[in-house]
Amino acid sequence: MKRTSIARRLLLIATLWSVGTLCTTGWLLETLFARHVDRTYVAELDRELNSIAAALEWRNDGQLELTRQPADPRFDLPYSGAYWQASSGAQTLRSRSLWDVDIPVAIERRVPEGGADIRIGPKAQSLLVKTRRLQLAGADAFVDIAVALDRTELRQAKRSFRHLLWLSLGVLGVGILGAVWAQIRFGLSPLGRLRAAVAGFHAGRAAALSGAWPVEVQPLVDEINALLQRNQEAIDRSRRQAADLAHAVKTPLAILANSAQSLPAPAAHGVMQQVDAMRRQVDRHLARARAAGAGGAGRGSVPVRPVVDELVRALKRLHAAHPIDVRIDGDAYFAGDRQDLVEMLGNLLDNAWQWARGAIGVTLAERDGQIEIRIEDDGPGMPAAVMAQAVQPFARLDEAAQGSGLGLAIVRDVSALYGGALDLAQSPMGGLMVNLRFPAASR
Amino acid sequence: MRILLVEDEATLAQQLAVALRQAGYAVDHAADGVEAAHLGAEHPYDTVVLDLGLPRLDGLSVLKRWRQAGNDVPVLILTARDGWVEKVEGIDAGADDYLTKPFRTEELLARIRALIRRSAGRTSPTLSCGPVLLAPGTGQVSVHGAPITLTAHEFKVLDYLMHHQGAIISKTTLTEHIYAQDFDRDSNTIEVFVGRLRRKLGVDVIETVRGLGYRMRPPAEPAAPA
Repeated sequence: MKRTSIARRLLLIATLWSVGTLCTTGWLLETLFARHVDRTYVAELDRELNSIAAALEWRNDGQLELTRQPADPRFDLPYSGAYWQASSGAQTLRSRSLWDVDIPVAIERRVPEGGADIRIGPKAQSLLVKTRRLQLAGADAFVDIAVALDRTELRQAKRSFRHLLWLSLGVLGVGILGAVWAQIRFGLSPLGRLRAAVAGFHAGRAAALSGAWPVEVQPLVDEINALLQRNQEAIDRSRRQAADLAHAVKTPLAILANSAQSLPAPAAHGVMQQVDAMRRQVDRHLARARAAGAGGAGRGSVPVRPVVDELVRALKRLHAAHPIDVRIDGDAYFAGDRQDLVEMLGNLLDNAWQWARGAIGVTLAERDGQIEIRIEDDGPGMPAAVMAQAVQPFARLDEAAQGSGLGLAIVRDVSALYGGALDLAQSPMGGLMVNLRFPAASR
Repeated sequence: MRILLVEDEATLAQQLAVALRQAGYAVDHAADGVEAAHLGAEHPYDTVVLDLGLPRLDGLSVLKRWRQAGNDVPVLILTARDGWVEKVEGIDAGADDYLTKPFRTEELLARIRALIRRSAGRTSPTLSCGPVLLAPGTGQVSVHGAPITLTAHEFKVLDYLMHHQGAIISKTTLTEHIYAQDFDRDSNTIEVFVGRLRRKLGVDVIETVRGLGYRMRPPAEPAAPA
């Protein structure tokens, strides 16, 4: 499924309506302006027509005469774009600007305003033409008057208006979209904060989502917090129960083991074996019960190196009679519950310590979206057959693997909860090499 | 050597007390945290075996209280809690060792011996002073390779002196470390034990420092007259 973005969706809608509105407005303004300019031109034509009509007379010799020249000097300039013409029968009077051509009769297009039309004049000029037929006093013959103005100016006016119009609308549009974008950013910023808060929780920086949230987001935050708390409580409860069970079962086991020592040797040995078997089962199942696993509320990004340092410090004390040189390289971040990590590494390091002659190597690395934890020692190592058996899921904890078997089984159980992989190999240091791999923490 | 056993489960406490006494330790028992904290603060124990889940005051708090007060008695935590987080927590609170239940008695005894040895600054499991050898694990004592038989109290005195060779040990200190709290003490008996020890060992390794106490050291060094 394609992932949707609220911000993108809002921006898309805002873009559609603002572009639509601006285009409509632009079209409307352009039309109104064009009509206004046309009207102004036609009015000018009317004025010129009127003045020419008023100045026309029949002379006594039957010749048509313009008694007063129009004021506009363009009528005198050849092909200036302002023309007039009056004709009756075979007679034609023209403005000097026309030289000796006629205003054409062919109509290119009608203009809706005031009965003007457009014709192609001399020098391919596009002319706005207005004509009138009238009768002058003293004769029955009709006189046809035509006045024409070049439309170039008119078109230029329209064009420059159009440029200015769309430029301003474009600026306005960009401004509106910018404002919309800012509004979306500001409006949706609580969601960004929420995401950051959740990430902070994931990284283990916070136990819950704190702070004040807008009323639209607060219920979601409350619900997340409640869920986290329930989750943590469930894990705490399960850990408490595991601890109670450990106490309830293991103290009687200790008593049983101690009591067995007063029995004759074979019986005592039998009881001790069973007690050991029970202890291993209980330890393993309690370890699993304690594990929070990948769904745990305490899931975070746990730096591995401090955990190793802490365990090495404790192990140095626990194995004070067996000093070991521990070399730690690199670092990695574990995506999960810290206690689970401590449990796994504690078991592995303790095993290594028990078998090592004098050195343990811990290598932490993060690559290809995986973290790798390698723990190796310079001890005697593990026979291949035992190795193969020890990594089988639900392997029986044989006497053969005793000492390492239980710890490895616990590590395998816990790591499986995180989709981790455990494998064993021969270390270049001589002893056992344990490789633990997990999906890396997203930071 | 005197041990404080802190365990609230009566049967287990009883069994452990018996095993520890058989191993030659003077044992005091506390069944709850408050009593343990008090005893540990009042008496000079050589080792404490400490359970964590205790009534009234939990074991970790008891341990932290001692450490804050500057009491560095060796402490072995004996608990059902086997998680590594708890182990680290215990060690960080100042424990010297950590053993989880169930356990083998020999394991516990071996660890107690190691703790006592470590706190006395010794590394070898067998103690020696000139021709005198003492193996705390087995309780065997020999002089020039010939085994000699000691009573429980003679052994306790020798064991303490061997662990603290070269130091002057007062009679009071010896009394405090070989008798349990509820024992009817008489410091004159110490002189009796030392006298018998000198006779049985047959070599001059226990020196009397007049007015102060006893000092054990190899006979190669010139010893003051008793």
